[in-house]
Amino acid sequence: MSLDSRLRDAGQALTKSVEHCAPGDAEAMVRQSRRRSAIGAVAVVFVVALAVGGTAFFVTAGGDGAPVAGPASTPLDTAGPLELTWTQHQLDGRITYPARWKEGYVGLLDGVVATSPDGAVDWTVLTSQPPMLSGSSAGDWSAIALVVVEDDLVVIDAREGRPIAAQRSDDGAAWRDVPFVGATAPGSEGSLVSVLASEEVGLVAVRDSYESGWTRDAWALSGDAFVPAPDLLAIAAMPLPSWSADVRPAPMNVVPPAGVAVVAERGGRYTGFVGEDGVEAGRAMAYTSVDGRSWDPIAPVAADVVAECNELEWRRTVTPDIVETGPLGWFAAGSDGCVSGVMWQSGNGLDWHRIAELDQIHAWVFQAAFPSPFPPVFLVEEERVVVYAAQRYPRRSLWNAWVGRSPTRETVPSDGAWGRYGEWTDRLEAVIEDELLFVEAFDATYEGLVRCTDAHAGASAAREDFRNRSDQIAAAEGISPQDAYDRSVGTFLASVEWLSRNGCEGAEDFWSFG
Amino acid sequence: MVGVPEPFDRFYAREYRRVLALAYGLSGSRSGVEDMTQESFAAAFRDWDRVGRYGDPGAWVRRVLVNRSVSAWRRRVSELRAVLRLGGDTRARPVELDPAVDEVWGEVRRLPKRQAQVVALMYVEDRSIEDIAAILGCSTGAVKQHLFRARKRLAERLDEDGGVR
Repeated sequence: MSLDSRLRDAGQALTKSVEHCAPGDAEAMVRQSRRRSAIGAVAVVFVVALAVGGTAFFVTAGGDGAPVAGPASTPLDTAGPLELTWTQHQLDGRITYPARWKEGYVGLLDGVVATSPDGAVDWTVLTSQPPMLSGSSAGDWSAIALVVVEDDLVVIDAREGRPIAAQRSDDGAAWRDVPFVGATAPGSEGSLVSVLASEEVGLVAVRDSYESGWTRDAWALSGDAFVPAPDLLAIAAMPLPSWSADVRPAPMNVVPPAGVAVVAERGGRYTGFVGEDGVEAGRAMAYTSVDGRSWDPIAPVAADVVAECNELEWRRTVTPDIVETGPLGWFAAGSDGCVSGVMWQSGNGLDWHRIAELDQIHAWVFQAAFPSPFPPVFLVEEERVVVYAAQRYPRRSLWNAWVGRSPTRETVPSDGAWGRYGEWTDRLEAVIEDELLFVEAFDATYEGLVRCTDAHAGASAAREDFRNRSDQIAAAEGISPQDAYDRSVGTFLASVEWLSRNGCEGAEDFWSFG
Repeated sequence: MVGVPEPFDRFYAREYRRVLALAYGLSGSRSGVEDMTQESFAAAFRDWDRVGRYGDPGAWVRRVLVNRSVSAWRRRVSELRAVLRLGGDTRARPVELDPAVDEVWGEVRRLPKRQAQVVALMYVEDRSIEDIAAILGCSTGAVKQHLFRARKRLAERLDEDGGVR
């Protein structure tokens, strides 16, 4: 059975498994949703009110909204009441937006502001929570963020459409509202994409919202309000670290170098990052230590490595692309936002070292006069690592684009030994000026995998071209025609996606390869 | 935008099971998927006068479902589940999947998030590339790329019998 058939069968089985699940009355559904929210809110209120000063007991709301308390050891799955004893095991992955604050740590524990002296076990909720967290709606905790700005705590809540924020300085002080200027009205479903705080850009919040189509907005904290900051949208899309099961906050006796704010422990090794969130001005530096006292700088590190080093998705931001490539570990590539691209390599996702700059990879020339905002992009093929890089000249419909490849994925070169795939310079110019797509790329050995000149009539011809080229590749490399075809199509689709996301309008419309 | 929204209860009755199946595929949790699904519909209900006028409000609900963190959903519903149990939650749950099918969806959930979403929308809902792109808010090229990578990885992980290597 083919994979496609297997997936379709699995999809049908899933659909069949819910056939007996009646939707019920819509009004009852809404009432039930409100009840869940109310119960969640009550739980939050009681946790806030009673859990301060200790973690060895729990307090929550029962099914009728009445508070219920129980012993700390009651297992979650066998007890009626909501259990909130914060053992280390349960904390794994539950503390979001961690940051150093005063003499300890602060973070969100399932949507509630909590502090800890050591950042490990003893997390305690603050007595005074932001008003919106003790309000009438529990909602989605992933839409709440916490950031430390100087000594102030800022909590941002995007659960109910319009983002709201509250800020305060000392423990016990009152929270004050921080409005979002120009935010859409309540009811517009939204989600908080990320929050960034750095000396360079200040505090920036990014949100997705729906208004006859999905849009992404950024606001920067300015004085007493968040004001629209569309120019910061790209850089602010970087995610903050979230401590997962195997990356933990380092204890307080670990003293990082001056200016290093984010310190995590993983596998007995400490890693510190520049900036509260590990990012400053679109770049990140990392330091490593085994004893918490003696620190060594390591090369610029992928900005979001702590948060999502296991995330293999291609990113639509200026953050570096990160991919895993078998025995060689992790690779990341990023641009400094100006002229050059840089590659790093890591064996474990934490300890990164620079292996090449793009002009070393191919003798690719990134002209200093023309900023290149696009980071290089990786594609890991079966046998090699491929890097895409591009440059677009300002105010001109002219692209320079390159594709390079390593000889094999097991022997990625650390200097100038990268092979050159092709050059798109003149042909991509035609995409923009004449509505013609002319892609010739990837492998000089086969004189290009695809060569199409007409965006409207080219699809079937290109598909046939894939077949022909694939036959050549299959014969030359001793692999099956289907494998060669799949590889070619995958590479081509990657290039179209890459062109599209880098602003080459029309690229995605060219190819309907469903 | 359409002129007059369809009555919400009709929309809800028509779309519920399909969204429930999607939630089941993405979360793997039988006990929490009703809550995930209902919360997504409740979000639509809160602003139905506007959402109901969109060309495809069902796509909007699906976007809300996948746009939120599934892990956060699961964590939350596992805790609220205990509370609701006291109130006697009598809703029907999805039937437990055949182990071989469950393993397939387990592998899907191990994919990077976006890839898993694309696979679920395509194989649970039989959505077109264009539909999926509209739901996820990305280009059709991105959907194809995610799908290609997902298929490639799944092919590596699943043997011919549908089990896991």
